[in-house]
Amino acid sequence: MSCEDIKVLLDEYITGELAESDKAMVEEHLSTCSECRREYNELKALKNQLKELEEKLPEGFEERLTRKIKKEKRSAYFYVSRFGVSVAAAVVLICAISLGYGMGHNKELDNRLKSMGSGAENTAEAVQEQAEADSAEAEQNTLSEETDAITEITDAANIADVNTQDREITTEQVTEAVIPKTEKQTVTEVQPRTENTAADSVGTDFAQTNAVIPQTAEQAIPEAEQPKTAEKAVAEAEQADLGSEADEAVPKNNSVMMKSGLSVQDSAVADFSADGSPEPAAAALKEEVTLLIDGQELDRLKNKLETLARVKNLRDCDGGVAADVENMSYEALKAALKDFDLTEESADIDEDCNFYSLIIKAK
Amino acid sequence: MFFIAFNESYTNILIKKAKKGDEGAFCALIHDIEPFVFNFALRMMNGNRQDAEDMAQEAFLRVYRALPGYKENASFKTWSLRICKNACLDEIRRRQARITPVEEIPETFADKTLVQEQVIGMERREALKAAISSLDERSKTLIVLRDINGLSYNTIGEIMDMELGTVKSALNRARKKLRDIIVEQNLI
Repeated sequence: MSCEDIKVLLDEYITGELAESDKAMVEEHLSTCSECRREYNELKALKNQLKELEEKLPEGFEERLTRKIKKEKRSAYFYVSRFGVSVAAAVVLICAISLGYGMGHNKELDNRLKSMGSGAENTAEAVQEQAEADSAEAEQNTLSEETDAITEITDAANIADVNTQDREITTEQVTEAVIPKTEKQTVTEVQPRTENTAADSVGTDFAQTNAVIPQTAEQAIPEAEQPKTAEKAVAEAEQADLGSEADEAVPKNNSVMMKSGLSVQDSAVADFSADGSPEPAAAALKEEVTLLIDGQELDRLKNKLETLARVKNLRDCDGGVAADVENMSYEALKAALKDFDLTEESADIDEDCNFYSLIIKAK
Repeated sequence: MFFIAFNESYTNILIKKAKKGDEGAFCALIHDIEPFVFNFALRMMNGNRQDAEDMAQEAFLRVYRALPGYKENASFKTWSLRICKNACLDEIRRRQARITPVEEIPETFADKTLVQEQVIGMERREALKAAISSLDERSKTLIVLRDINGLSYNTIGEIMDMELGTVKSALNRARKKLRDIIVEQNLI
């Protein structure tokens, strides 16, 4: 090992990034070579001095940043009320132009759906919906790469589009025919996942529960599900607390509508509708995180979430209380989980499950 | 039993919420890199804290606006740091004429209660800051990212879009320049 070779390694040796073998090599060389030792000492001193220059964030940095972000969001809304229709028209034009871009997504989704096994008959339909949704997404992404201004307007326009959709849903009877494409796509996607989750180890638990998001219990009866969804969806729509918080990006009408205690639908729809930049690809791929907590903690968490859910007026099809983390603001989620010290590390990830859900079970 | 909806990883949940506009989630996402970006801006703005804060916040706003386009194929940290680096450099170039000149050693060292060693230490710090300020843009960026932010070579390579070998050699040259400046000014 020449001195030149060693010198190249000194930086990472000092920071501890070197592999064991390289580290040993450097140490051995340093023990015999005074030239390199001097180089090492100088570099170490310089790095220490530079490290001292690191300063703390100013007080209130995050608060000020949050304020600016809120202003950013509000200005997007401003575009909606001002330009509403004309912007929406512009978006449609842009959609048409960039439709070709989204086609590449199809194969990926196809493979995912195939790997889920069941619901093959739904694949074609879902893929088609996916393509349209993807092009909308692609359009969104392409635009955001151009200028900030255009991105804002696009976001706002999509919000406007979603608002329009929401109004349609809440005032009309919800049937398969009437449901906008996005919801339909979501419903069909959900069914394949049913079998997966039912087969899951927590299957029996699902069946027994009277709780929140009994997806599998419901979906185990695919026949009954559709009409039930429609009925309950209408009922929920009337109760739904629409767009309650000014801070949340978009009214969550769609997700409440389709809720029926089915969090998969919720998340899939929520993904799509919430900010107008659809993520159907994300809807297709979800994993379940199982948290094991016991008795008292479980009760406390349940109470907290029930309160939150009541405030947000979320209901599942049995009239029970649903809490959908997807639709909670981050602050609310943090508050709900705070006492329980829940982290990624404390969760067991169940590889077999495919939806966006955290299961909190008694130990 | 009680079920609520969650996700495969907390970061991904935050990203999804942030994409929907949840500013609480966004702040949680960028929380860990805020010091990096601030310190980077601080050295780029030659120690002016107010300018640095403005620049850092503008950089994060850019990240926020670019969120819809984030595809989760690169790490969020690297992706957002790159946007921030570019935002800062853009702003610097824009302001080229108006950047605060190289820092002068502050008056506070006149404080008699300070022990000799402390004074020397502070002077050395200020001298080092001044030396960094006078570096060229690329050298300055590299030194800050590596020796102040402590980022790995790989991360730096991704942020600056440079090959690993290039990062190492450029960094060595930057440190040499820095030492030359310091020695020349006979301050350390």
